Amino acid sequence: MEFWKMLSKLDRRIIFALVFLAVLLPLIFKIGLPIKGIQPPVKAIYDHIEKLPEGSTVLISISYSPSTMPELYPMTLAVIRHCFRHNIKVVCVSLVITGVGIGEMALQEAAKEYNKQEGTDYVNLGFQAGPVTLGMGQDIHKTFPADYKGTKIEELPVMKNVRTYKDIGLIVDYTASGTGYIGTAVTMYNADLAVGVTAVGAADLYPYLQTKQIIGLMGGLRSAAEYELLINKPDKGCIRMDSQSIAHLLILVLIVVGNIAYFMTRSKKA
Amino acid sequence: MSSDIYVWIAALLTLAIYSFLYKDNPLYKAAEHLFVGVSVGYSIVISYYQIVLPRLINPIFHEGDWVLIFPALIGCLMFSRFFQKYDWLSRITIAFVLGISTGINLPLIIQASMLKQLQGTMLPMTDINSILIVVGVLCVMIYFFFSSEHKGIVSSVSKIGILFIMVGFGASFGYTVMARISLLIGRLEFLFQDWIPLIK
Repeated sequence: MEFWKMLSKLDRRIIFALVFLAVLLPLIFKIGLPIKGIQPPVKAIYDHIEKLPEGSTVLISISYSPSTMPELYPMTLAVIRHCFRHNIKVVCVSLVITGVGIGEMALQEAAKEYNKQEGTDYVNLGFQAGPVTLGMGQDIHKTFPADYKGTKIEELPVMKNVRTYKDIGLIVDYTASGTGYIGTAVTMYNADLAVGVTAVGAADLYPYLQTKQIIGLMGGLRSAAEYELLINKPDKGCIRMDSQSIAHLLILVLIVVGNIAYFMTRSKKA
Repeated sequence: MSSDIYVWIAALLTLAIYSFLYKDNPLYKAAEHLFVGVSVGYSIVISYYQIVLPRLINPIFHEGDWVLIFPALIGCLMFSRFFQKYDWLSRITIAFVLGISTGINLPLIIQASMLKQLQGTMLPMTDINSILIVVGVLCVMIYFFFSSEHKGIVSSVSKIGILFIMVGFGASFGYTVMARISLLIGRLEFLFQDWIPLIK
């Protein structure tokens, strides 16, 4: 009984230390746990991009800040890589100020691998304030008169035939919570939208998947790892899944042990 | 260990933030305040070069688009909040922003989040998923119906509603754990790869 009492009063800092080890050790000593099964909402995004003809344009929207990069950056990079591999042009916009640099980092990393040219194969339009998702439905050139480096939009070959959502094959919005594109791009302009979201926000977006307002959904690190597997380019998403799985196992054990300790000490009191 | 001064700054600030896990301390507070300050500073610079300069200053002074002076003046009224006597002027700006955003968003939200979702709930109950959706929505709605006392059949149905709500909370909790662990992975990867090269 003393054991259960001790467990129920365990210092939270011991739990922090256990989680720290559960995350760090698999990163150092790689286990390579298998990632089995691709979720249909993730596969739907992959299939949609595969079906787009070469030369189409995908709009990548960065609506997250560096604080959620560990989850969202791997999936951003994976989709951009997929687009470049498939010779699809990428237009990147940012709905939060701190997203501008993240978009640039992902574009440059992928462009280097697939030998893509800035301005011709991809562009980072940067950040604009106001009702941007609405404005892009009317005229992207007026909403973003220049890219984030100041080059006028008319001078960018990649934007020559891209004026509204009608010219975009797919919008992929990466967001830390909800997406602003459903009300505007989807409802008003019938654009195809996929969302990459932190795991915290994923549960809230499933209803939109069920109503087909979004064509696909990537929620959290696991989805990033799955997309990396789909494009045969395992990277950060896959590497981090070992730690994720071990930490989940530890938390499961802690929940079970915590509940047993609670019931054991409660029955004693009763 | 890394020889990059920026990596060292980032690593020490990360440790300062994580020191809160032990207990609140001045190092944590300093890092927190620094984060807020740097974020605001970064936002001001990006806003200036991405919005104020190309969309206001250049059009007015280089392209002769003088009409932009009026929205600029309305925006500047927000600064009246620094002067107690004239702070009422900022309400004009707030009224503009609220009016426009409400006007734009209200019909869109009703259409995208209410009507479409209602449509998505009106399903032919031919498979288990559709039955679960329809039954779940009805039971949860009854749980939140307070104009009738939760007794008899209403009580039983609302209890089923609670079950559905708990499943929803469970899914959200699981996803939240996944999200928080992912963020920890990102930081530890930085500390033990970029700062102390333990991870190969």
